[in-house]
Amino acid sequence: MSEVKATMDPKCDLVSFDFGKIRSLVWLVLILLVFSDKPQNIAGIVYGSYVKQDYAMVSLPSVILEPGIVGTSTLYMNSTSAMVSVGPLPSNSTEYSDSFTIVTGSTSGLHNDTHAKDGVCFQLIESGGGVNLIFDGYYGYSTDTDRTGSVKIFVNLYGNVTGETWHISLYNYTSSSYNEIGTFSSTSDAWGNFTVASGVFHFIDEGGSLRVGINQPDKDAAPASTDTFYTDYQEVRITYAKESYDYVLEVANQVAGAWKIRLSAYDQSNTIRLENCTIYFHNGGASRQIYINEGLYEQQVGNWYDLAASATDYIAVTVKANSTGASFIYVYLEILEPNTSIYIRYILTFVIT
Amino acid sequence: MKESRTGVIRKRWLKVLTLLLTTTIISTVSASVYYSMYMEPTVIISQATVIFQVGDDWPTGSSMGTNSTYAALSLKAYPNATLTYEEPLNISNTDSIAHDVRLRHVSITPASGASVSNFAFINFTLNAVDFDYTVSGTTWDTPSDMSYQTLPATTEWALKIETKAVAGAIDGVTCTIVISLDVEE
Repeated sequence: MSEVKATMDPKCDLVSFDFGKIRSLVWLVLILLVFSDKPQNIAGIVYGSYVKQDYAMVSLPSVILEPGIVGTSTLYMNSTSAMVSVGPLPSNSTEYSDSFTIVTGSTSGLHNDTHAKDGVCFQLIESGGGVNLIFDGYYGYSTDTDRTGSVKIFVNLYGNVTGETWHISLYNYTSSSYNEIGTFSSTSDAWGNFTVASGVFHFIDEGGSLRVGINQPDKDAAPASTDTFYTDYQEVRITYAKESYDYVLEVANQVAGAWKIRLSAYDQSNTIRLENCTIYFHNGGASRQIYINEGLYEQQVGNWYDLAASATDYIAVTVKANSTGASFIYVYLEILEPNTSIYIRYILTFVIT
Repeated sequence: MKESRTGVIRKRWLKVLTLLLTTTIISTVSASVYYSMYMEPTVIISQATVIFQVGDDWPTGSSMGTNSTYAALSLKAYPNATLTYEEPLNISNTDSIAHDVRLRHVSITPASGASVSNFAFINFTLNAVDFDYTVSGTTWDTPSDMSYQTLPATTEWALKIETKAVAGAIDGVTCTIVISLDVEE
């Protein structure tokens, strides 16, 4: 048995090994194998899993787009996206009164006079007499006039009165009554300029006439015989100002619940040629949503605007370009469910040539 | 009788081999050699510290499970329009320490077929990390497991959801997605 020790002779090193070290090494490997992976198995294996189940259903939209009355609007399937094309705004058109007739009232002098710029005017000296002074102004209602755009009526007077405040009014053919549009009380010659910018077509009858009332002490009163209203000129002018494409799209709410809507521009190309471009909502009031000035955004996202239950809001565009070409404005129409942050996005593309 | 040097070396090699064999057996069939220790777990029913919460945009028709560890959301998808729920469901850490959480896809039904082509996408976003389901033809592409996100103590995150159906999608088509919210203790 002791012969084994004899084999540990150093002379044998070249053909034998340090078996003690090998044994230790094997034990070390064994220990490492057994224990090495335990810490990593412990870490991170304690967790809980909660289940969330989502049920998604395709639904038809409650708010849809509808085409506008100006420009070219293309609606895509489901009416949830659209492309609108508009060109430069055409020139404004203006129609002047071309004759006047005194309907009631006494005058001490009346003559037609051709005003170089503003069409037919006449001189009127009204000295009271117990009846209202009313005159009809007929303007050149030609069939080829483009009557789209922002319509305004201008009533301009130049003259003086004897000290009273005279009331200028327009006859409303819808309500069959006079609507006051301003007063005039200058005792020396001066212009009285009056403008009507809303409900214009209530004041123009189908035959193309306007009826102006000039009275005091109120619009429906009969002036005293001593009251004098003297005018050198008076004119009625109607302008159709192409200030905007009104409207290029409708946003129609098909349900009885209200929403809020806004526009948000998310991309664009070649807008540098746009001196001025405004995209806005209107329906009674108006809300500017996107505004480009000198080619740059001054407003890229609009404020929320009410879309009432079963109502329609309108999208209008004003544009002025300084060169030819095509500009693209890519916009989200965002439809917000009130009192939540749930919203729908429709993609609108505005092409401005 | 003196043993030859070759015999001694052979014996030593045999010992080493025996030891190595023993090591291998122990490491591979270690279960056969064991000792027993007793572990006595006590399981206490506890309220989960990370829970679902109804969000400000909780969709009509949705339901929250008892203990707020299950939620079923009823979502809409409009044709050719993106519908966004900014806060339909919140994930709330009521604990005083942070927890790592992630979303993990479990199932979607139907996973493929003609009805799937009515959808464009259903995207989830948690802590600005996307977890998106998209459609390729008639098959849903499901997301990989989200990496764990650290939800700080006493903090609530909103889960944002965006849906979209394709133009001309058929009204009433549905799909059901089951997602697991994994929470590390």
